[in-house]
Amino acid sequence: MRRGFWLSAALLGSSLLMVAASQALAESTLVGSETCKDCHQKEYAQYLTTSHGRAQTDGATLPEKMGCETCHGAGSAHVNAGGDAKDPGFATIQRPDKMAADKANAICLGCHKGGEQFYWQHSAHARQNVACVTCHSIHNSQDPAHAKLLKKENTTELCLTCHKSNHLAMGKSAHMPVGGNGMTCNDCHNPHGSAGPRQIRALTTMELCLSCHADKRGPFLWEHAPVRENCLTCHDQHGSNYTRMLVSRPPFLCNRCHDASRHPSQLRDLTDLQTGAVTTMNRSCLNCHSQIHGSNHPSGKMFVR
Amino acid sequence: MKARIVLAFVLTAALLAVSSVWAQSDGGFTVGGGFWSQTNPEAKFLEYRDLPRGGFLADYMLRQFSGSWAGAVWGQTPTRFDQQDAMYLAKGVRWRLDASFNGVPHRFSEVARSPYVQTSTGVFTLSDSLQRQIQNLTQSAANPSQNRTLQELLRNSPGVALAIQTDVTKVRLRGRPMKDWQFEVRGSDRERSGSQAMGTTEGGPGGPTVELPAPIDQRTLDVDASATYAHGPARVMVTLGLSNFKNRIEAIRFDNFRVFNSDTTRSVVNQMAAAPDNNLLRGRIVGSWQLPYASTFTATIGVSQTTQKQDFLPMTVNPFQLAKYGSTGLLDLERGNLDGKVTDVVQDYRLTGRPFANFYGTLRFRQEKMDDQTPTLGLPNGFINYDQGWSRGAVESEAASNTKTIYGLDADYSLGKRADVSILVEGRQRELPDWREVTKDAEGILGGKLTLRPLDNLDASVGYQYGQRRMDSFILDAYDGAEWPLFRRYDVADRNQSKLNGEISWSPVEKLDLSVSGWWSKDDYPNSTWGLQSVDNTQVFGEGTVHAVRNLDLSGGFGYGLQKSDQASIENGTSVVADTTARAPWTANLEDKSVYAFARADWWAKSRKLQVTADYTFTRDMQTYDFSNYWIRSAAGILPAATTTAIDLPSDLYRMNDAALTAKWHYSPQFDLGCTYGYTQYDVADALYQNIPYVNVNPTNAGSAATAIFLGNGKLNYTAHRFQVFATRRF
Repeated sequence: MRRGFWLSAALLGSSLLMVAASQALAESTLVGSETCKDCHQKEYAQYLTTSHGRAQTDGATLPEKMGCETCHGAGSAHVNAGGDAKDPGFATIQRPDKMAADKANAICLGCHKGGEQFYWQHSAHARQNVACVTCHSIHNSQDPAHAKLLKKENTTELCLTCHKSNHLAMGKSAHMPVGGNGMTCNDCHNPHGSAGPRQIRALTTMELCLSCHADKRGPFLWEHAPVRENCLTCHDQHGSNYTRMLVSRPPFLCNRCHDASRHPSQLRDLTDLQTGAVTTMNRSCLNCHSQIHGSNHPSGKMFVR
Repeated sequence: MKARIVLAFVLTAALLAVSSVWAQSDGGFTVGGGFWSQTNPEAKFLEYRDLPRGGFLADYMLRQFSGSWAGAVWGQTPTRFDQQDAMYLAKGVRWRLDASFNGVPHRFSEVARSPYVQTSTGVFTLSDSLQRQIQNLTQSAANPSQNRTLQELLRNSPGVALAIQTDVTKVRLRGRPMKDWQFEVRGSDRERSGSQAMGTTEGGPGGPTVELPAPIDQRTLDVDASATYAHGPARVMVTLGLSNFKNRIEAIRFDNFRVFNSDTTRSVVNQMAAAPDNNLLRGRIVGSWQLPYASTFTATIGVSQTTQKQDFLPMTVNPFQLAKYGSTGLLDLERGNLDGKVTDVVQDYRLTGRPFANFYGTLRFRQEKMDDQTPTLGLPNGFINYDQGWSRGAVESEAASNTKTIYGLDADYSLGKRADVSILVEGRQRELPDWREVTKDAEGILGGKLTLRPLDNLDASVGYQYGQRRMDSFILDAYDGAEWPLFRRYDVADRNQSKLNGEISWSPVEKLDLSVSGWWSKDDYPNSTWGLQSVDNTQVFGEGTVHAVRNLDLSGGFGYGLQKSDQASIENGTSVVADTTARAPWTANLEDKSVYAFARADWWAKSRKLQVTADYTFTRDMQTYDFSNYWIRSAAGILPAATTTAIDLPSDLYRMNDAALTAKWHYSPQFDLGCTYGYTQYDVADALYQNIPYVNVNPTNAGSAATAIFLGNGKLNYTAHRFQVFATRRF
C-alpha cells in the first residue's frame, strides 16, 4: 500500500514535470550562440572549428541567431533556469544523444538531406534505430582533423563497434587491405544508406567490385557466366581462408560446377600431389585457366590465353 | 605521379602553415625511427604495409580557421608505400574541396624466381640452352639427378618481386551555392602497377604449365557529377559519370620451353590477351517524396553502358597444324575487335514509413537488368586453345545477359520499450543467359527477428530466415553438350537456405561490458545428386571490456568460425557420357576453422604522464579434407574398389601470433615520447602452396610428362621483431 502510494506520487510528479517542461519548451525563444558560449565554452570552441560552426559564419545559410539552437532547440527557458537542473526550463534544451533515434535524426536530416544522406530513411541503420550521434560526435570527434566528426579514429574501428563478427572475417588469412592505411568499410559501404544492396556505394554488387577491379569489367569475347552475374559466387568479400578470398579451394571450388569428363571431373587427392600433378599444386586449375574472369583472345574459350 | 601528389600535399601544408590569413590553427606531427628483422622473407609480414628501416614521419595534421574559411591537411606515413594523405578546404558550409591520396601495396612473394627474361614489357624469353635442358628432363622425367640439377639451376634464376602497388587519388568538390541545391563533382585516378604470378599452359600431352611474373600497369579514371534539389517534401538527385580503364599491357608473350628440339607440332611463342581497355558511361536519377504517415517514397533509375573495342590478338597456330588439316581461313576473324557493349539498367523503388506509432516498414521492388548487346563472333573452323592444339568444329561466342528482380517487405513492430519484432518477406527471380542449363529460377524468403531488452543493461536478439530457390527447368543440351544429368552447378542449383543469428549485450556493472554474437547458416542443395551438397557456416564472437581501475582498461575478444562443405562428384577419365552408373563417384568434405582472438591492456601511471599499452592478436585458419571414392582410376580404366582409395590431403594451417608493447611519456601537453616493440610469429602448413618447385615433373607420366615451370613462390614460416621510437609534437 505504502509502496503503491510512493509510486503513484513519483508518476504524478514526473508527469507534472514533463508538462511543465513541454510548456517551457513551447515558450522558449532563440537566444543566440553567444549566450550559450558563456557557460559552454569548451563545446563552443570546438563547435566553431567544425563545419557546423562555419554554418553560423556563412551569411545567409542559417536564419538569424541560429547556431547552437539549430540542433539544440530554442534556449531561452534553459538559459533562464540559470543552471538550476531542478528548474523545468533547464531540461527543455534538446540533447540529440538523449533523444529517441528518429527524433534526433530528424534534426540532422533537416540539413543533411542530399548527397551521401539521400537514402537515410531507407537504410538498415535507420531501421535499426541507429542515431546519427551513435557514430558522430559534434563536440568531441576523434577522427583526424575532425573532417567527418567520427567518434573513433577511423571508420573501420567505428563499424566494428557493432559489426563485431567482421573481426573474424578480417582476421582470416586472405582479406582486403582493411585497416592501417588501406581501405575502410566506408570505401564499399555507405553507412547512410544507398540504392544498392547492403548499403553499398553502387547500384549493384558487380558495379561496386568492378569500380576498383576495372580490368575484370570486360565485356569479354568469352564470358564465364557466373563471373558476369556475381563476383560473390566465388569470392567472399570480407575475407576467407583461401587465397584470393575464394569461398573454397581450387580444384574443389571448380569441381562444384565442372564435372564432365577428363581432368575437371577427377578427385585431386594426396596421390596427385605426390606425383606432382599441376592440376593440384599451387593454384590448381588456375595454373592454366588463369583468365577465369573472361578472355578476349580469339582462342580463349577455355580461359587459358 | 606519386611523388607529385605527395609534393602537392606538402606544399599545401606549408602554405597553410605560413599563411597569415588564418586566425586560429592547431596540428601536430609524429616522427621516429625504426628497425625490423624477419627470419624468412615471407611477404605476409608486409602484405599491405611498408615498415621503414630508419627514419619516418608517422603522421601529421594541420588545421587552420579564419572566419568562414577552414582548411586542413593530414595523413599517415607520407613517405612510405602504404600512405594516406588527405586535405580539405572549406568556405562556410557552401563550398568544400576534399582531396586524398592512398597508397596500398600488396605483396605476394619475396622469394619468387623465374628463368624467363622480360625483354620488353610483357615479352618473356627463355634461353635455348634452358629450353633444351627442360625438354630433355621432360622426356626422361624419371631421372631424379637430372631433375635436381635443373632445380638447382632454376633456383639461381633472377629473383622477381611479386607485388603490386595501387595508388588512388580522389578529389571531391561539393557546393551548396543556393538554397535547396547541392552540387558535387568527384574524380578518382587509380594507378596499379607491379607484377603478379600468372599461369598459362602450352597445351599438349600432360598440359605443360608456365607461371610468369606478369607485369601489371593499369589506370582507371572516374569522374562523376551530381546535383540534388530538395524543396519541401520533394528531393531529386541526378548523377552523370564516366569511367575509363586503360591497360598499358596488351598481351603476354612467352617462349614455349618445349620447342627447342621438339617436333613441328609445338608453337614457338605463346601469347595471352591481357585485360582489354574499356569505357563506362553511367547516369542515375533519383526522386524522393515525403508522404503522410512519416513515409518516404524513393525511386531510383540507373543506366550504364560499358563498351570495349580492344583489338584482338591475331589467331596463331603452328603451320604444321594448318597443313595437316588443310584448313583455309582458320586464322581469319570476322572483325578486328569485339565491339562489345553491355547496358545495365537498375530500377529501385522503396516506400518506407510509420503508418502508426509502433510500426516501421518498407515495401521495395528492385530490378537489375544486364543486357549484353555484344555481337557474337563466329569461328567456323574452330579455335586454337594452344598453338599446337586445334579444336575443330564451329564455335560462336555467347553474350551473357541476365536479369534479377527482388521485391519484398520489411516490417518492424515495437511491442513497447522492452521488445521489438521484425519480419521479412522477399521474392527473388533471375533470368540467366539462354545458353545456360537453367535459364530462370525463383526464390522465396521468409524471416523474423525478435529483439528483447528485459533490463536496461541487457539487449538480446534472435533472428531466423529461410529461403527456397527453385529452377524452372534443367536443359541438358545447354550443359556443355552433355554432362551428367544429375549434376547441378551450385550457382543455379535448387537451394534451401537457412540463417540463424543471435546477439546478447550486457553491462552488469558500469565498468564492465560484455557481448556475444552468433551466426549460423546452411545452404542445402536437395536436388543435386552430383555437385555441391551443402555448406554449413557457424560463427561465434564474444567481446568484453573492463574498466578495472581508474588507470587500467582491459579488453579482449574471441571469435570462432567453422565452415563445412560437402560435395559429391563423379569421375570420367575420357569422354563425355551421360551415364551415372558405370563411373567413379567421389565425395569431398572440407572443413575450415578460423580462430580470432585479441587482448588489450591500457595502463596509465597515476601522474598520467606514462601510458603503457599491450596488444595481442592471434589468428588461426585451418582446413581439413575428407575424401572418399568408390572406384579406382588406373591406366586400364576405371575399376570398382572394395574400399575407399582416396587419400586425404594434409590439413592446412595459417597461424599468426602478434604482440606489441608501446610506452608513451606525455612530457607536456605539446610533446610525447614513445617506443614500441612488436613480435610476430607466423606458421604455415599448406601442402599445395609450400615447397612449390621451380620445375615440376610428373615422374609417373614420363614421355608425355606434365611439366611446369613455377615461380617457386611458396609460403614460409617466419618470426619477426620490430622496434620503433617516436616523438609527437602538437601545437
